[in-house]
Amino acid sequence: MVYILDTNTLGDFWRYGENKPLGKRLARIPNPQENRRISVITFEEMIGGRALDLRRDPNNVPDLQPLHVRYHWLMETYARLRDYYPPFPFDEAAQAIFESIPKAIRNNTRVNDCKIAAIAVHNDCTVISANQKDFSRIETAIPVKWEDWTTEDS
Amino acid sequence: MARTLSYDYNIFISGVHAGIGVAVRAIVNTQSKTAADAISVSGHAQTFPAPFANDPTWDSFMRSIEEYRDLSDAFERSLE
Repeated sequence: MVYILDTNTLGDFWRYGENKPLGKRLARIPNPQENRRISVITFEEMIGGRALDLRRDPNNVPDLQPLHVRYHWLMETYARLRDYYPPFPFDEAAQAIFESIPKAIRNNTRVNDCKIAAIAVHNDCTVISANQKDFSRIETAIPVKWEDWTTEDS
Repeated sequence: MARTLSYDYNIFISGVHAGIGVAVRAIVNTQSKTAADAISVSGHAQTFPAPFANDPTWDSFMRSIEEYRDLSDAFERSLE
């Protein structure tokens, strides 16, 4: 079974390791290089988030870390993402699946979750996400397999 | 002639040994790195490493990701 971690799932894993049930399960995935994967959307969000973080105004954000510290963690993020290279691409087939999701659903969910779902459908993978609200909606439109591993009984 | 052959043979064997030595050192170095990595993993309180456990920018980073998603959503909806 090949799993695609969404951005928050990967973030939780990076932040807490095996100190949470989610991390314990992720760490047990056999042959992680093949089976514990991410999509290019997570690459985009991780780097995009770091880039936005560099543009915070210290006058408006209390306790903002110095710029050099934020740059350091940008580099660390990039280095860690390389462990997950190559990500699943958002290719032509994934785009076609994404565009088959009705606008009414795309407009009421995170658009990037719709893209991750489309990538997962195209590659026959299971998404690991705690975003039950959005994936419950998306699965009414496309046959995405997803699981929430943040709950003990999942 | 026999002496020349022997000399050439010895040079050849020396070269082979040197080559093997380089190859073995390369393998040993690779394995040492792998072993060191394994130690760093197992040395982390028997848990999978959490490389961002001490990231002081983490909360701000998470807010930035949410903001980035807001921008992505707004862009998608502007395409209608």
